[in-house]
Amino acid sequence: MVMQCKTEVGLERLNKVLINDKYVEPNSIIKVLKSDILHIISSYMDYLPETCEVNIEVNELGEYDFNFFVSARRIKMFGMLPK
Amino acid sequence: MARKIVITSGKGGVGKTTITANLGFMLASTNKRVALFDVDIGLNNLDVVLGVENKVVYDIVDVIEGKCRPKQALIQHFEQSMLYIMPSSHLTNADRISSRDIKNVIDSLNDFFDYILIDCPAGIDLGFQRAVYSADEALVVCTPHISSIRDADKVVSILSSYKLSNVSVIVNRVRGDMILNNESFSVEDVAKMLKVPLVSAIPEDDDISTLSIIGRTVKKDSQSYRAFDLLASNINNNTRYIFNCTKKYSGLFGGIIRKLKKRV
Repeated sequence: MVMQCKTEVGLERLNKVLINDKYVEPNSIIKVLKSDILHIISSYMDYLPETCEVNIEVNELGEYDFNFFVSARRIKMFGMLPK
Repeated sequence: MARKIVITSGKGGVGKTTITANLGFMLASTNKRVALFDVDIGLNNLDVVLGVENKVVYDIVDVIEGKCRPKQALIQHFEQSMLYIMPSSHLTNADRISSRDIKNVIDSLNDFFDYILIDCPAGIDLGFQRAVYSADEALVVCTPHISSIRDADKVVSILSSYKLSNVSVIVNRVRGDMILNNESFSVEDVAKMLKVPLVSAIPEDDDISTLSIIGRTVKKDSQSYRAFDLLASNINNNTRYIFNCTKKYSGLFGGIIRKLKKRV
């Protein structure tokens, strides 16, 4: 078995530690984010609130993957809106 | 208008105060007017590191409490006339000092300096907030050790909620010989992990601790002097030239030095 060099082992450990630290319970931020995004979206479309899903995950690069999904009944007609 | 830069880290003992002192000294030697603010209230050390502890008459808490004007509390450095130090207080109960109080003092001196460097206390509590609140830019100091990088990563996350125009990392106490022996993280590894641009690498230098004992900055012929000089130049010109800490230990003679160092 080839032994990994000390730096490689250290980098692997550090990467795991940093990713683990990022797994903070994001419920509070998701709640605020969801309400902010829905507020903006409501200007553009009639969305279905019960279909809204938001989640944040940490990928193996230590970056946050943000997924937002919502269904909408119709898109508002901007040309028809009063100025 | 001064550029207000906070030097922070999260973890203690990584060299924030030493870097503040030496960077300030180097910037002042390029004819820039520099003020160093020690906002580590209760655990102040910047005055001792710069050898001006006997000149302290007033401190930042006296300014906040209206006992003197900000300029009266500033101490001019004995070797570098463009360098001024705002000392902190021995006061142990610092809770009554707010971030706004510190910002008011710093802002009142804004027009008199080109750079205001703020030496941040360790940790991420009130002292940290007091230091960061007044700054426009941040330099995060860390060493190539796992615990230091982890704390620096937390600090970088916290800094993202402040309105800072620039956040960069300084890797301090770099051992070039250990990097070449694959026993230490390289400065590039550290910057990559933190996902923050690297602005400087300062080599480990026994002279720094010796010189801080007698209140002097780094010696002109040393490696750390060249690294600090490069850092000051990077700050002045917004460049990113990094001192090569492994050069001394590369090649045939470098290899011999490395082997000898390992044996000692």
